[in-house]
This record gives sequence, structure tokens and C-alpha cells, in this order.
Amino acid sequence: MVDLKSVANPAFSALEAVPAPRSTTPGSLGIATGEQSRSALYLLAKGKSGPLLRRRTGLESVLGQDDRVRILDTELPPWRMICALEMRGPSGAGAIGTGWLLGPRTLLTAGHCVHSGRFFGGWVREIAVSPGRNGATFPFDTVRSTRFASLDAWVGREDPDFDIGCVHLDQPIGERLGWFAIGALPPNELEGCLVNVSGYPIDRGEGAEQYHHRNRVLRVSERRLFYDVDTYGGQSGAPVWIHESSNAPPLVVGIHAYGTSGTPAAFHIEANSAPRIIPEVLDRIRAWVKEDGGWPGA
Amino acid sequence: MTVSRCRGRVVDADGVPVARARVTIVAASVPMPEIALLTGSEGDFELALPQGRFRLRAHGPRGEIGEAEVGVEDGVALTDLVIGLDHGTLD
Repeated sequence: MVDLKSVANPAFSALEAVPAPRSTTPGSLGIATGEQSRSALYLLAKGKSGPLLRRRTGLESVLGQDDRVRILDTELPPWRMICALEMRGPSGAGAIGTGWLLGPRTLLTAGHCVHSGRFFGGWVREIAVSPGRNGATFPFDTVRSTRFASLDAWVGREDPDFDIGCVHLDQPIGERLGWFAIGALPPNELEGCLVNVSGYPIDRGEGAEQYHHRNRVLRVSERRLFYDVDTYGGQSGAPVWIHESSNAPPLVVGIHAYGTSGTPAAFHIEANSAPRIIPEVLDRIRAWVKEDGGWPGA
Repeated sequence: MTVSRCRGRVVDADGVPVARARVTIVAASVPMPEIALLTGSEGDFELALPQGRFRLRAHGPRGEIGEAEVGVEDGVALTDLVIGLDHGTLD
């Protein structure tokens, strides 16, 4: 068992210009649109699979041939639950990442998108959240937040296993847009799963366009998930989700954070990775959502 | 773990600073997150790196790309890193 504590960022003054039983949380597709995403229909990976062979070259996080696909109907679920993030640090320095809704007023991302000694010298000052951003088109209002949280294991020692951050929102944007369910699943349920990762990479679309790729989980460790899915800088914080069957809703099982440099050499695989949602992490996440008013009916 | 401050600038083919270029670490000898930094008005960026080797890649607003290899020793600051953007894409 890991004893995890939540750490919240201090309030800033007005800003200047700048392996256990499975456990899940409720999800929502938001207000019905009467239209189903064609991208979701054709692109989403579901269930489990045997090994998928791909051409591999180099050691970067685009693993060989770049198989990412741009999402154009980002105004529809599940893509609209995924948000382009622009962070602003205490010095005014900016950065780009990805986040996703897990409740009406709560967004999850990587821990280093809210607190990083390396990139911000501590807590970020403000994050602009743009749901479903599609290049120059913003299908929904951009909202800003100055209230964040992470885990003590991340804030205190930047342990990649706990690289998870929370953005508290003032507006209940999830009521309209929907939110992902998340699940702490035992390793045997994750092994061989096909996972989906969608976010805002800077090499294609300058961090303003959403790209998706899917492939198989290569390895599950005690606290991490390793997969053969193409990603790039800017996709930190993207949801790593599964569909347990062809009709099952999306279920987030990890938060994308690392390229191949985060995969231990001893594994002898080329993979990108995410901290897993483990039960202790899920407990903290539930508490974060509760701080924001909780899930309706929960 | 000690870290070293790394200050750099992104410039175009004429040496002019590029604001809002995107900088990320595409390869490293230690785990590095997939976040991207935005350069300031003078093309400037700053980060702290642990000991190790890193490949930084910058993307300009018109698809230009530049790279720099960085070796970091404990406690030794890097203050003059310049990434020049070139036209075209990397294979």
C-alpha cells in the first residue's frame, strides 16, 4: 500500500497578464448531440488484441512510422472531453499540455503540467483549458484556472509513477461536455488491452490540433502502463483509455506522461508510458472531484 | 538529485529570435515528460535538467524545425544554448 496525500497549490493574488479489486468512477457523455462521432466509429480501439507488428525506428516517442490521426469532429464525445492546455508559470513562461474531464468541474492531467521544478520552478500560476480545440476553431469556451492539486509523491520527489495533476474548474463545463470514467484495474485485466491516446502534440498542429492513436499495452508494472502508441511533446496529461467491449463506454486507466526515455531498459521494449490509476490514486482523485462538488447522483 | 539550469533561445535562419516556438525533449538518458515549452518574446526558454544527455527539438510557427544535443553535468548551468530553426522536416 502506498500512503498518498493530496497537495494543493498556494493561492496566488490576482494574476497579471498571464493489484486490487477493480474500482471505477462514473462517466458521462454530456448533453446528447444527436450525432455520433465518425472518428470514434472508425478509430477507437476496443477490447484486447494479440501483438500488433509495426515498423520501428529510432528511440523517440513516435515509434517508427507515425500512425497518429487528426480528429476533426472534436465537438463530439469523447473528443470534446479532451482539452488543449496552455500553462503559465510564475515567471510568465508558457508551456503546452493536454488534460481531460473526469467530472463536471474537475480536469486531470500530468503532475508536471501543474507542478514542476524542472519546467516552472514549482506550481504553475494559471492554466487555460480549451475543450476540443480544433486548430483555430474553439468549439467551446476556453476557461482558466488557478487552483491545482497533485500528489505528495510527485510534488516532493517528482516520482514518475505518481505524475498526476488535478485542475479544479470554477465552471461546470463537464455537465455539457461529459467526462471520462476512470478505473483502477488489476494488471491481468490490462494486459493485452488496446488503448487509445488522444492529445495535442506540438509537432503536428502546433499543439492546437487533436491527434489520436491506438495500439496494444506492451507491459503493465506495479504503477505504470507501457504501450506502443505514438505520442509527442504536448501530449503530457492525455487520457489513456480502453473500451472493455465493443459497446462499452470509455474507461481511463492511465495518464500519458512519458516517451521512450521513461521506459526502463531492462524491459527491452520501445514504449511510451503512463502512471496507472491504482486504488490509492483513485482515492485521491475521488477526493479531488468531491472538493469540486462531486459527481451528480454519486 | 541535483539539477542544472539550462537557458536557451530559438532563432530563425537569419538569427532572429522566434517567439512562441515550441520546445520539447525528444530523447533523453533519463525519464523526461512529454511537455512542450513556449519561447518568450526574445525566443527565450529555461528549464532545469538532471545529469544526463538530452536532445531538444524546437518547432517554429511555419513548420520549421531545429535541434540541439545537450550534455548536462551536475550543477553546471548552461546559459548559451541556441537552437536554430531550419526549413523542412526531419525524417
